[in-house]
Amino acid sequence: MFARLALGNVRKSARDYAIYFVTLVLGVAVFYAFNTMANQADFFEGDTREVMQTVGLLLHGLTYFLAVVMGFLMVYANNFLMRRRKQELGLYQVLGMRRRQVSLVLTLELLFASALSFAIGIACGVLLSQILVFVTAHLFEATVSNFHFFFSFDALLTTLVCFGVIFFVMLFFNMRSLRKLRLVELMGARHENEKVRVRGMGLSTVLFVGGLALIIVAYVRLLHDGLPVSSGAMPAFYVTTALVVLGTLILFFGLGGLFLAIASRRQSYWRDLNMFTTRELAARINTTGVSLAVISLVLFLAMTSVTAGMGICNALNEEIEKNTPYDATLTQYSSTDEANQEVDLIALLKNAGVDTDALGHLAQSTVYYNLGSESGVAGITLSEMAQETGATLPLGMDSSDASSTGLYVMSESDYNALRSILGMSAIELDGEHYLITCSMDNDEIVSFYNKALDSGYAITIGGQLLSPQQTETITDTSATFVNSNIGSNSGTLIVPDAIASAARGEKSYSETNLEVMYAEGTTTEEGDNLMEAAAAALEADSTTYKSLAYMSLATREGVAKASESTTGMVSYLAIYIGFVLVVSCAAILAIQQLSGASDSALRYRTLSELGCPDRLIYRSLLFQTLLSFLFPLIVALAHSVVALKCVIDVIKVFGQINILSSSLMAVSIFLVVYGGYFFVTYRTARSVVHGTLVGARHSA
Amino acid sequence: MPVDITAAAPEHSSAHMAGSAFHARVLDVRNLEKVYGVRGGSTRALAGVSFGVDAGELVAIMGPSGSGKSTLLNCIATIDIPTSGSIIIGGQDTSRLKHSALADFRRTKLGFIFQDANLLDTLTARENIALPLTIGRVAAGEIRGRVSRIAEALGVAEVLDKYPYQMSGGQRQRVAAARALVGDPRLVLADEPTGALDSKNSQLLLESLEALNRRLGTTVLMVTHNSFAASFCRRVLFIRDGKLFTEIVRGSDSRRKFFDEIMQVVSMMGGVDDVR
Repeated sequence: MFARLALGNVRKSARDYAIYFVTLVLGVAVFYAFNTMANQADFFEGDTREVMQTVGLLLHGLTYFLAVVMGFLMVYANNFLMRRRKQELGLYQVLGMRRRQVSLVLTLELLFASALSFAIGIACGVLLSQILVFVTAHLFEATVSNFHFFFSFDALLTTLVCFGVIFFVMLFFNMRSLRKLRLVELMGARHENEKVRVRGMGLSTVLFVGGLALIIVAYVRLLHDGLPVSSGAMPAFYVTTALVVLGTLILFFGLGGLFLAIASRRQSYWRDLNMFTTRELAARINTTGVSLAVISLVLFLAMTSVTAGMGICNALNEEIEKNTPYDATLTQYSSTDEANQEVDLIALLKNAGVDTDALGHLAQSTVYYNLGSESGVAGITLSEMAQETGATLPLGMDSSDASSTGLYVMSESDYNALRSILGMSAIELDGEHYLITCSMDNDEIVSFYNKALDSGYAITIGGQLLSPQQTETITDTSATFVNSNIGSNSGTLIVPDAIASAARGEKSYSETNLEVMYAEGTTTEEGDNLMEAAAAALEADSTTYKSLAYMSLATREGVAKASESTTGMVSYLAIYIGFVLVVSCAAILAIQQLSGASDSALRYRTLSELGCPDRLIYRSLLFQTLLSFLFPLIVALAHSVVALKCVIDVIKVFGQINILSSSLMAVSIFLVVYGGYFFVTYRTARSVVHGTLVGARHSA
Repeated sequence: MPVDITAAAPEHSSAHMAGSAFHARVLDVRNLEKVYGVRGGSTRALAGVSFGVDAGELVAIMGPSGSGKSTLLNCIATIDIPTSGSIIIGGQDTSRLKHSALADFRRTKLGFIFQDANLLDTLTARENIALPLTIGRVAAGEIRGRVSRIAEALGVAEVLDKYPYQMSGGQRQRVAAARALVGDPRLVLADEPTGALDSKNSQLLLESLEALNRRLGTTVLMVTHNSFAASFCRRVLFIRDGKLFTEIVRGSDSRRKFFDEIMQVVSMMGGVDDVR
């Protein structure tokens, strides 16, 4: 009997709670689908398979974080709906149902609704995960081998655990609100006029302006300090974050009253339903201020992380061609205890039995910087340069390294060797000049060096005074020593051979690179295979391996693959986070709007009876819904623009980031999800109101 | 045109009172029928009701619960649709109005006073009263004056800037009356206007309505089962089982005497429930 009542309640309120169910279904589907990533790895081979396994792990971890956010939404929405059902629950008890029986009905209702949503959600998720395999294939530019329908028990379990916990938390809150129910309040208060608590206009204005001021202070601080790149900058960053959170909260506390104050001063306030619309909105903003503030902050988080993530990926991909000028590079990084050992990679390879001539055209180059202070060296640190020339250090390079370690140093003949295999002419330093090379696609860094070179900035190295060979920094492909997806040379001095070896101190950090251009007639695949075999031989040769602390092989093909994988990975992360966060926010807004519309249904009925045309009523509803969705979005956008400006400043160190194209992706997620929720909300609210108006006309 | 209540000319209203010059028909109800339900279980709420209301009249419709009086009022209010028969308000047959025109018709020709005020609780009294005018796109400057004048006439000028929850029940009902009257309607329809009020506030509201009727010639049709409320009217129609039972006219009788007459009919009819 209780099960029938519960089932009836679920069916009866299906339309009112449709958005709630849809969100639950979407949540389950997305959770399941994104947790099948590790399973999807089975459909791919090689690199893609490995990357997919990593992606799977990452997304799995992320799921728990998102479950917390989603859980917060569900609990909030559930409490919101419970508050609206107080009267009904009171009625059950007045009719003689025991409290335990009422709570049984509530539990059953929640169970039916959750189980149904879960089942539909999993079904959608299974479907979605099959589609995702092909999306993955596209993202990673891989081919799907032997595709077959699959079902992941692990993903099901993860989703079940997440939503199971959410279910019990909701249940707990339901039982609590049932316990707090006072029958007298419920039954008597049906037709009482609702108290409208809109803060005074004066107070509202003060709150709004105060909140705005806090936000502006936070903006200025952030734009001035930039994102924290060292741990020392964290406290200041926390203060800025606190300011923006507090400011947003206070802003929304004052928004309703201020909105009313401004609107009511205008002549148009006394036209059509404008005053009604304004009052309804102001009242709603006032009662939901905290959640609106939270929503706008979460939206901000979603937009910023998605846009920044996609932006970084684009930066990685766009620079890739320029930063992989060699067919392959083999790099040995020195370890600190064997810092000063000269490494000859070609000799080591030969020693390990590799036919180095077969690899193709080879060039070997070494860069280093001294770890201790050396006599006879002056003026080669960034901070010294900045002091001398009066230029400010580019953002992201003003760390402690700037004053302690100097630029990398490379000898003239090493540099000429790699120029030669790139088909470039050799340079002459005449024993008293130096050059600066830099492969970062960052105008700030390059112009910083150019300024020094242009002013004839002299350095002392190896006890000798050197002056610039030319006024421009070398930024062409010869500035790249190692294949990489981004610019890896932040600044290297090219000095005469004798000076390069004389200036190297007791302790130094060095990298030795073997740059390889495959011989004519060798295909990329053959070349890559040879290089991989060579690297493996080197690693297997135990006598040489000891001295090689870290070694890495970067073929042009491999870097491109890795970069694609990273893009795919970040894209998935961004979509997953963005989608769940945006859905959560939009669902809360939708539920608030819908219950607002049904709470106000009697008012719309009165308006209609007073002779208000339906068209005006629907327009008012549209306007209320639109502004309720827009206010948090506008605040979130403002926050995002400022934050992204800082993100760009930091990323710029690695390469130009095209925020526009990456934000297009974020914007389209927004348009579809947020706009979709807005549209559905308006249509549902409209049908709720329509039902009231029609019902009034025909059943009176 | 705004209604200037305070400056209403006495000779103007006496013309209405005397009723000698002309009787413009404001409302004509002919053979009205309303059947609820389909096949077998149908109920005839109205079984052929005909009557008329002239301009400047203050008329009450009385009847026991289920007599069809609320259905009758809802049909006249164009909120409900009659099964057959016609309702002509100010020369306009309401059954011929399109759905889209009905709202405009209600706003411009009719005024409503509901049992439980039905004020919008997010709006102040001033805004509630102004609502029919803003919907009708009356200029903002004019709205202010009209709202103040009608509020003055109904004794609610001091609560204009309060919200419904800050007012007493009587004040709320008089604000609702002001809202019904501010648009200068041809016909004011009142559904149990004193139903939710105590006797003191009931009297206050009815006296205001009577005064407005006398001074301005506002036509009021009131549905009630309260004999005391009905005794403020000039004429009382009695309805039973969906049909017109009888009608009595106050004429030159005192309100007290008219009340006794009403009570007699009520007891003869078999009682209007809940007589106060």
